Amino acid sequence: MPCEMITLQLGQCGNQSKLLFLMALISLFDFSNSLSVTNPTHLLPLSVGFEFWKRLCAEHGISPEGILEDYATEGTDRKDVFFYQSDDEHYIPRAVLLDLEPRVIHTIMNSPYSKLYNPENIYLSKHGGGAGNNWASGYHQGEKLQEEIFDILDREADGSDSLEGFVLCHSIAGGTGSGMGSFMLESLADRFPKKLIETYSVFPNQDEISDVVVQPYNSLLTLKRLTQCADCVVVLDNTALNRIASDRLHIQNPSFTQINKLVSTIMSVSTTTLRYPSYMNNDLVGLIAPLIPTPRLHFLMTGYTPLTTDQEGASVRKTSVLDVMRRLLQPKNMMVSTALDRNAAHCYISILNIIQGEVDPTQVHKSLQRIRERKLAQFIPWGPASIQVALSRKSPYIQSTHRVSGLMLANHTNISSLFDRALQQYDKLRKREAFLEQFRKEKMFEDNLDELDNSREVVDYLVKEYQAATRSDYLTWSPSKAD
Amino acid sequence: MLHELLLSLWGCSTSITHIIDTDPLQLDNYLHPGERVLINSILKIVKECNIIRKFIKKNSSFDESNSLLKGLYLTSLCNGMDKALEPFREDVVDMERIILNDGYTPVSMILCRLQKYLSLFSVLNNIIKDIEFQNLHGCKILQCLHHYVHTGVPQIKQALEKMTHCVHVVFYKHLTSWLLYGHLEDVHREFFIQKTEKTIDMIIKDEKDKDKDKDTDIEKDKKIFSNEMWDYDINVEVLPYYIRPSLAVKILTIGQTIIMFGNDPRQKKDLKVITNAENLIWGEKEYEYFEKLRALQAKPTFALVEFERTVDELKHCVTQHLWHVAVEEAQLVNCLKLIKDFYLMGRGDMFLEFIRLATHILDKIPTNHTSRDINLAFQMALRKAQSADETALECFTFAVPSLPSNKDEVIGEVKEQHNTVNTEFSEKEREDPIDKKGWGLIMLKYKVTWPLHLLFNPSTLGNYNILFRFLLRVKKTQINLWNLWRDHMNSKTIDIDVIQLRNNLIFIVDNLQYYLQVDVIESQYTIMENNMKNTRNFEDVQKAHALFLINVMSRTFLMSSERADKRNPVNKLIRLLLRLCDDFIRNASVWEIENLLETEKLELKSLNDVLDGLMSWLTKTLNRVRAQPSGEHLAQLLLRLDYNRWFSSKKL
Repeated sequence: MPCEMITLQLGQCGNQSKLLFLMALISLFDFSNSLSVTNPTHLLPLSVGFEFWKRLCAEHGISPEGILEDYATEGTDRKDVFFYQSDDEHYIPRAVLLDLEPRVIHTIMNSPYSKLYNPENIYLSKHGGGAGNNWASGYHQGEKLQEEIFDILDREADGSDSLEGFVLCHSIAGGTGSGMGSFMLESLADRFPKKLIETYSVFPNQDEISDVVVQPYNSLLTLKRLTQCADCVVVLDNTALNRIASDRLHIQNPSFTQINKLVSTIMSVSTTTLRYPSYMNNDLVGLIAPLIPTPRLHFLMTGYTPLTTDQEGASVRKTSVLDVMRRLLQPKNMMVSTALDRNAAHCYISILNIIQGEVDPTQVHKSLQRIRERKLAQFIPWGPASIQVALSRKSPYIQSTHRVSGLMLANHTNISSLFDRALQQYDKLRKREAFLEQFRKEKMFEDNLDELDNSREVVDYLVKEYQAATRSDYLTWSPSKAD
Repeated sequence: MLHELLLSLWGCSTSITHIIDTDPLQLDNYLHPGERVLINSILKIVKECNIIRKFIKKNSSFDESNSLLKGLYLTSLCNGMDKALEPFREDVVDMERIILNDGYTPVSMILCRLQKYLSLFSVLNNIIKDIEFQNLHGCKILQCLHHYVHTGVPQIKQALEKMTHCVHVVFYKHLTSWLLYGHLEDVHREFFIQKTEKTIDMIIKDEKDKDKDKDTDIEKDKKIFSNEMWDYDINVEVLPYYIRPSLAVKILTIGQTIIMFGNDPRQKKDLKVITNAENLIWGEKEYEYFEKLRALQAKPTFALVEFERTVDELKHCVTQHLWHVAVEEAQLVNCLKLIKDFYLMGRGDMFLEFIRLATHILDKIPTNHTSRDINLAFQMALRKAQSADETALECFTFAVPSLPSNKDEVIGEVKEQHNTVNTEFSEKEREDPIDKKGWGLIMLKYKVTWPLHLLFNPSTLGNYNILFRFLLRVKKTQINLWNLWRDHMNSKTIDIDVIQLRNNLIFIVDNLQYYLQVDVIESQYTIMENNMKNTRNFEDVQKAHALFLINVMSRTFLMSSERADKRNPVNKLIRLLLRLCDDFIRNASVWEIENLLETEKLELKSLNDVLDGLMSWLTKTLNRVRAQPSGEHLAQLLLRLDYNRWFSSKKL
């Protein structure tokens, strides 16, 4: 089947959140696997995730033995976008797990899900030393391992009927996800020029001081690749995710589990139109092409509503289409925290809302009209733009307390503030020439730090381009004239 | 002499006129000279009476020489007339008795006693005249009687009612057999529901077929399929005016439905098909309804209100049964879903693959084997979409009619059509190349399961095909634009104007599609679903579906009007936009997009200009008519296309 996607999970962040994502998918697709819900505690230390998981299993009619219940016969979903069937009819995820240190992958391999993955697709660096939170180290290790990694990827690509693209899950702050991720981005774009590359990139929490001191360097170097090699980047901002967990979900000390749950929700809902096909947005290009008008402006924000924990089912009063769409436009529901920028009138370049649940399609028009009347969304002045609303089916096995839920994928110029902040942090560090010696050890930076300067330039252009996109003369703007 | 008179009144031929004319002397022996005038007036009455008698005699026996159309209605009318004359005959007998007792009874007594029949005779004579002059036939006789029955004279009224009742007996017999069994034993073609003459029908049909051979196959299939059902129609000529056309239609449909059940292909092999079918519908109620109709028949006067009520009751029973068969046994809801999934592009993923596989076939002018190739592509796409149900594969097939050998004619026709259209965009409108390619000709055929052909008749499927071709075209254009986007994403230094034009087109096509799929199809489908959910009456289901299709057709601007020049202006503009997209895609794929040549820049500019022009026309058109009460959907499309007021605020 066309439109298959291969997911690459890189490093700690990628693997941890990715596992949850896959778990969500498993539960949605209802196929038998060897999972057991009786003893997952060593995988997910916190009981919230466990409860979440247990509930999904119950809803989907998966017995603890992983056997498909008889009623799970609804055959109109598309499992093959992310899975393939093995000879014995097991569903195997088209997933490749890469890490340079063994901890997380070992956890996965010791979990009940160990048999889910194709073991050949789990690649662990042999020396297991990790990248030491160093972008350059991750990058060069990726370079060294590329033959083996691309063996895996080529095999996966050949195994799919018509591959549409790759989904990359990583963090831009650490060493493996950012460094090796950057290398993978470059080589994927090089080796599969016709395939789309979508990334789910976790941006570091900027409110707290990170234990990764070189994080600004790592982020900037990765941002350059995200700008140049990826077709679409879904930005997952840890700052905002933490804020949402504490403000919206009232969790005092948000844990990895809860954050990962948020992330996995976003990832699974944003691909729901691919997996539950309806009349539109049934392939990745159809999903992102309308969102991304010009090649570089491909960083998407997400928003999700209703955000609730399992304990409190209906803290949000009423869920109609208009409510959902209105709430999606509120900054507090956005998974990206953006600073207020007084210099530019930031605006939406494009919006796609994926709405799930019992939606009366006649409401969509009314909601659109109301939002326009109230001027709830500001759009670019240099081209046509609107809110597109995709009504998506839901897994028939999931019971939700909410009538309607929605995910927004938005291309908003204010995302540049995130990059701007990355630039500022980088500049602060760079001015002091701090922590550069560990970079200088690696080949790329042996002679000079040009790569850093070059990356800064790319990101700076990106910020400027986003700012230019708020003005009506964007079409005549060019990077060279920016200054 | 008096006896002679009475005998002539009885209808025997006597020599009384001869006597009066030739033998006055003899006459004087018996009668007072003054009575002669009286005799003459009696003889006048006799004449009238004889006309009636002659009419009765002529028509109650089946005589070949009769000029009037034969019929049971006429015969029973005569019977009725005969009955109506009964009191008169009794009177004559009574008079004879009086005369026998008293030989000196004056002629005036006879005349006097005849007086009261005068008006009856004249009315009867009028009826006869009407029937003979207008050649009234069958049920129309009922109307004629009904016309005269409203009179103040009780005697006449009684007599006419008697006659009417006689005729109604025949009427009810016809009606009962039609309503309960769908049979019509009507050799003289008298009932207001009649079998249309097949021969004539077929000839007309054949001619039609020659005109548009697209629909022949479907139509012919249908013809064989439900051989009898559509053969019956109301003959307005013989429909009495006191039965409203709507009531007549109800009666027609009841019988048709029963015939249709009789043709149930599921029971074809059963020899006792028809008897079974009736039992299926009526069950135990058959007897009850039969009695009801019987009671109506027995009533001396025609009870219209009750008649209507009974018909309604029957109809209710039939439609409910039909609902049961259609919705529960034939799974109408599933069928509608299939229709939506395939005709209306509900299975987007499948069509994505289908278009990918079929593009190179449909881009060409169809040949003999195009249909086969397309079906192959369709099957592959379906398999790949992992459609679990094989029903779709069985139900749907594609056909791409190849252009007939006499190409010139067709092209000429097309040109002609375009010529009438071209008011504003003559040059471009003239040849939309896609109309002649597979895209413009492809047809999706749906094998309708019995008895859903009541909903999906050939013209409905024709409309669905119009929708399908349009939606397929939009989707194909969209996919091509996306592919262009994908190509453009690889090289990051593309001329911004190309990008902008591409974005605008993607935006327009995307939003057009959202409008079509969400605002129109999904919305209308939900409305139809709700309507169907709340009913157990097949008529309502039919109505809901008809409404759905009509609304979808009109809101997608595809409602066809007979005259080509009145084609929907929005539709025209959308077609031009889609053509513009095709042009752009074709051009952009050969352009040196990273560094446009001068000529390419010119091409781009002209494309841009066309787009600006079209969009300004479109927004203006939509703006102008959206305020009208029926223009709600126009406002919806406008809102989608012009959400941030980009197109409307643009100055040309």
